[in-house]
Amino acid sequence: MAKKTNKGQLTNNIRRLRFDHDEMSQKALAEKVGVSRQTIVAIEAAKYSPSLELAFQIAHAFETPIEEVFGYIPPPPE
Amino acid sequence: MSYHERNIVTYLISGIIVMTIYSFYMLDLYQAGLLDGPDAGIELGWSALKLIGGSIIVTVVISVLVSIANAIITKESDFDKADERDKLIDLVGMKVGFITFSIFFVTGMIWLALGAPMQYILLGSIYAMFFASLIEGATRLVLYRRGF
Repeated sequence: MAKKTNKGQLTNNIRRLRFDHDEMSQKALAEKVGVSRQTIVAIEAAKYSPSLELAFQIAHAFETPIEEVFGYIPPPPE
Repeated sequence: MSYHERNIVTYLISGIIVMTIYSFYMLDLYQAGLLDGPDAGIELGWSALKLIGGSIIVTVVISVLVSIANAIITKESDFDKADERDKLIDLVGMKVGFITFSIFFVTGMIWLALGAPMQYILLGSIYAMFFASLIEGATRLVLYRRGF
């Protein structure tokens, strides 16, 4: 999933990572990182950009580096 | 619908119920001429106190009813702690509500400067608070639904 912003594009691989981790549910991930399931849904659908702290917590929950979970595509040069 | 969205809907419904009852009450006072007499300030003061008390009671009753209905329908009694997204949405909602109230307030002050009676401006301020809270709730609902 990707979110277009004026400054570039935010991407995430949460859905794939959940699938790779024994099909972890959104609720289970939410409980692991201490947010509501709706917040995980919004992050996964790229409707909400998490704080740096939450982004690290999600990466920690998957035991993977943060760049494996979140990505950034810079805007094309004008 | 999440716990926080349900709370917003509860507050919106209770706000509309309370303000509808309050409007009928104030209409009675107006028709009796009590809002134009020398005791108009006292009547307005008491009506505002009754409004605050009534709002608390109605909100508690509706919250309990909605929670019971939700527990029966979904078989869940969820209570989500507010996380960072909820707090951000609350902040944006409050900001929009504050701007709305400010617009109403400035409009009221202009009317006052043009010679409108003080008691009607005071009454208008109460309605301005209600509309500001309605818009705040609607904004939060939209942000939850549209994404933030």
